[in-house]
Amino acid sequence: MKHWFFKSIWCLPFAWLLLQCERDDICSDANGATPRLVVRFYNIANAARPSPVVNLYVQGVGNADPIEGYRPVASADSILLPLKSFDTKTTYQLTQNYGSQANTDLLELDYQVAQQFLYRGCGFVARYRDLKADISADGNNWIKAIEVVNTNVDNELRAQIKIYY
Amino acid sequence: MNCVLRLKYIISLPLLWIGFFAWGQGIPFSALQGNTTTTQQTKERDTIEEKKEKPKKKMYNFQYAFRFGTDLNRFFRQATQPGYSGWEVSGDLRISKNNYLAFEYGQESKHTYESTYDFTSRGNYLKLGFDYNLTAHRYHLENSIYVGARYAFANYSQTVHNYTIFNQNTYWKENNVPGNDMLIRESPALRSDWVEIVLGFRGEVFKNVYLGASGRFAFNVTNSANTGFPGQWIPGFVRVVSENRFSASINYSITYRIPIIARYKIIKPKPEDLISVPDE
Repeated sequence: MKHWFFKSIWCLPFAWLLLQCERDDICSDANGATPRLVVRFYNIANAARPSPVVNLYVQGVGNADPIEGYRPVASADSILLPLKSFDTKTTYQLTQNYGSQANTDLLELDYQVAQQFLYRGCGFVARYRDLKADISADGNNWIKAIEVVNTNVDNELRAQIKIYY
Repeated sequence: MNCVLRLKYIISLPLLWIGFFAWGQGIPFSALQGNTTTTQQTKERDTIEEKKEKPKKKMYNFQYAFRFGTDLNRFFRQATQPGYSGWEVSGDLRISKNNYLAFEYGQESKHTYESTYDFTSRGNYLKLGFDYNLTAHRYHLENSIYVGARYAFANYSQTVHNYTIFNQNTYWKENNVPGNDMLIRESPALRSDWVEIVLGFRGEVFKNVYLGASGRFAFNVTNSANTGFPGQWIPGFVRVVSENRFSASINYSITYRIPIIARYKIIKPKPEDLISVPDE
């Protein structure tokens, strides 16, 4: 039995084991799991670069808690807002100067949800399409203008909404 | 990397040796008695047969035959693995000394559970190709070690029973809300194509009855696109493919051989057709 095949047949189980390897069943945001909405704040007088909002307090309407990371206040030039995956509308209260001289504006977000399969570890995730944003006027808005930069929310890498105050 | 030697493979591995036993039974004892004896015996037999044969007849150094069988591994899986059912018939046709046309046809169904969803995949598959015999074919033995190639495709459907949207952010507490997108739940007409390389051996355990094992290394070529839930478990391909287009599996086959042309006559075996005896 000098044939090369007989000499190399012992390799087969190892090759076989190697081919059984699969990607870890880990899903992370870097892989594109359900993204949050990226909102960036600009001072309307100087819109060249984002500027932080002092004592910003963010809470979803219909939710008893402020969003993660802003508990209760923070100064930030950008925030990540989780959108509802089983609704086409999410509303947030954005409060400036939380604590003293607080001014709350309502940010209304309308969108379509696209459910899709990502890969085995993640399973199904949501993407958002046709994003529309609106600030409801209350006579004393601290938010002066809002701009939707990208109507698709596919990842958290770039801002979809710019808010000018 | 999640290289887990799964229990099912541990259980399966000892079965691999069935084929080796089968191989051992096929070799005639006379062949194992040393080089000189074998040659002598064959020479004697040759001369006798040469005398018998007067007019020139068509001679074959192999026998055309059709082999038909089934895969035992799938029965085994069906008995041991919850959520799986499947069967496979296979066959090959010997078309020349070392070449066989081969096919496999089967149906499979599998219920797979993942952390945020579970689904059933069911359908049928057909594999067409050839086998090439690596062992120089010895005289009247039909045992063989072979390599082969297959082109294969499967038509199947996938049904997602339950799923939730994976979201690392739990602010809106939607992680347990059941998904209801019908485009995701039902994928009625999926097709996948792949190619396979087959390495196997088989031995004759009884007259015309063969046991064999083959390893199959498959590479997925195309899948149906534009569906809410792409092919995750392909019948015949054995595994989930979204992150790995390779698949490896093992078949244990039992086959029955139906000779097509009457038993061959060999008047003068060539030297390479004789049993080769181990060096030591």
